[in-house]
Amino acid sequence: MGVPTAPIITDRFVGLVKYKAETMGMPLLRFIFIPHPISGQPHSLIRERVAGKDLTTGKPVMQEIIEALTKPLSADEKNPGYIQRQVPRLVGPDAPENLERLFLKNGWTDGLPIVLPTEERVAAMLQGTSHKPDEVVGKMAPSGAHEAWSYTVEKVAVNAVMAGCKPEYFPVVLAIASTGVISSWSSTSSQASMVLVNGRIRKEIGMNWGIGAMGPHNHANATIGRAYQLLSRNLAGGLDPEKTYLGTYGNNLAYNNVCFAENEADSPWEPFHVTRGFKPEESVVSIFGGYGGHLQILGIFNVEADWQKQLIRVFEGTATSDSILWTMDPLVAKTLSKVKGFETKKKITQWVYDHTGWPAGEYWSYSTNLLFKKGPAEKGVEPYATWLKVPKDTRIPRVVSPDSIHLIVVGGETNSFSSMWNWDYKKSASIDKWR
Amino acid sequence: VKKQISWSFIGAFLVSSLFVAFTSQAEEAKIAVLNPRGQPPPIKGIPLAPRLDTLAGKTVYIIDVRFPGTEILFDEMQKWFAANMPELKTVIRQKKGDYFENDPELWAEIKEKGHAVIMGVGH
Repeated sequence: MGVPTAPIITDRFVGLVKYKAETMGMPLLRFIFIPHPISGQPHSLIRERVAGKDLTTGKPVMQEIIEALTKPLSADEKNPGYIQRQVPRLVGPDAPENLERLFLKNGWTDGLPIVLPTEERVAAMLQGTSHKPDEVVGKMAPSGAHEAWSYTVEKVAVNAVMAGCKPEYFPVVLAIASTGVISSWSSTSSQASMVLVNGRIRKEIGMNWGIGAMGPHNHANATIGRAYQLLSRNLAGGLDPEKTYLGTYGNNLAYNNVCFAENEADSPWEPFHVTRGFKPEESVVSIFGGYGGHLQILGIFNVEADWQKQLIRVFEGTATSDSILWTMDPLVAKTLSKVKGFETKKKITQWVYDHTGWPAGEYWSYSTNLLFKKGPAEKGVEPYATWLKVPKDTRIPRVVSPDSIHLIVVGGETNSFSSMWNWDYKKSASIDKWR
Repeated sequence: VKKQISWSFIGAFLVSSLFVAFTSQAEEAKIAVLNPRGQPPPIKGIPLAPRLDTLAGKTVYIIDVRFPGTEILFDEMQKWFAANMPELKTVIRQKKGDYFENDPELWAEIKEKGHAVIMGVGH
């Protein structure tokens, strides 16, 4: 823009903005830090903060603003230079225990023990794909406002080794990396991801879609999901608290991102990847992301009375988001399909869309909707534009369309159990392409 | 005496051999591993815009990037300027779209009509 600017931010985000300014080429940007928080505070307190001091420097806030706009530029501010950031291919040599300590100290792990990525182990992992080690797989950024880093097949293999993956899992990890979707989006709302695998590779690598599929009961599920977390940390520079991760209390699901396979054989409907337009014989990985909050219903479909009412209540109880992920045991899917008359996914998602919702006034009272949806609504983006215009007591749908209710069948038929999750669908990628 | 010298020599030889053996074993135990980090892009420095000599008689745009509560903060800031620097004109504007979106129309307006910006990027 070429106009002198004084950026103001609350002092909880010093690490974030300094990191971002540095990586964007303005390391000496003249920030003014005002005491945190501003949102939700009484007017009188905000007035005091304007008249008060920047606690990081001890100077009055308003004086800093004036200086930021008028103090002559230093030589470094006029010419911040150019930095080529080289990443050496090897680390060490050193004793294994020292290397493990170094990886931990550098934030290259999740705090749990790792398998050290020796040349031999990485070479063995690379046997799991026909792609060359130096092929660029993609780019990934911690958020839409952060810089994106790039990575090769070899770099993905290094992280797969660290997570404990077997070479036969490697095409799945490469497909995940190819989506460019980070596992823990750097939002203050503590995000994580969910990883779904469909197609014949599920059987080939021994993934679990039955009892305990979403839990720590299967090597492939566990290590593929962990590889996703480690590669997001290392290949995108993500998950670094203060700089590239801001989730206020974090998310335990982020350790392995709820990685599982769909129970395709016991589902009365087409599998998820087919719903997304892939062929049944294809192997596909799909990523969902968000807060991951979820509400459950136990055995609801065994009870004739009020099952619809209970279902609606759970859907409406989940936090506001554009879409909902509905995971269900095969018992639930079969009951819905064969007993309740929802022979297709389309029928049940349409029913949920038609029967769930909330008053427009309530929708627009959520801070996330004010932050992310009101701007697009004012620019005419639908359905938000219409939702913004209707009277406050008008009922608007729970999700943006029937297609934004995603159904996945998983589980071992020990309970007619189902969960509604705050996950948004992000992306699907072919695993076969990475074999 | 001859015997003593021989034994000393043998002892010194054994000690130094053991030292060499342990040292080479320690060296052998060292390994190199592959670096797990991806490739960050180069940083191309962007110079800061030239500063103003004075704010007197100038127009400063105060830009709200839409974090909740920012409007109260900037309302108070505008009042402070009116009370303490009445020769300065302030214009409060809310950026279009959500906080990730660019607003080139607003930047063009500021370049044409404004002299400086205060941008509220926090919450």
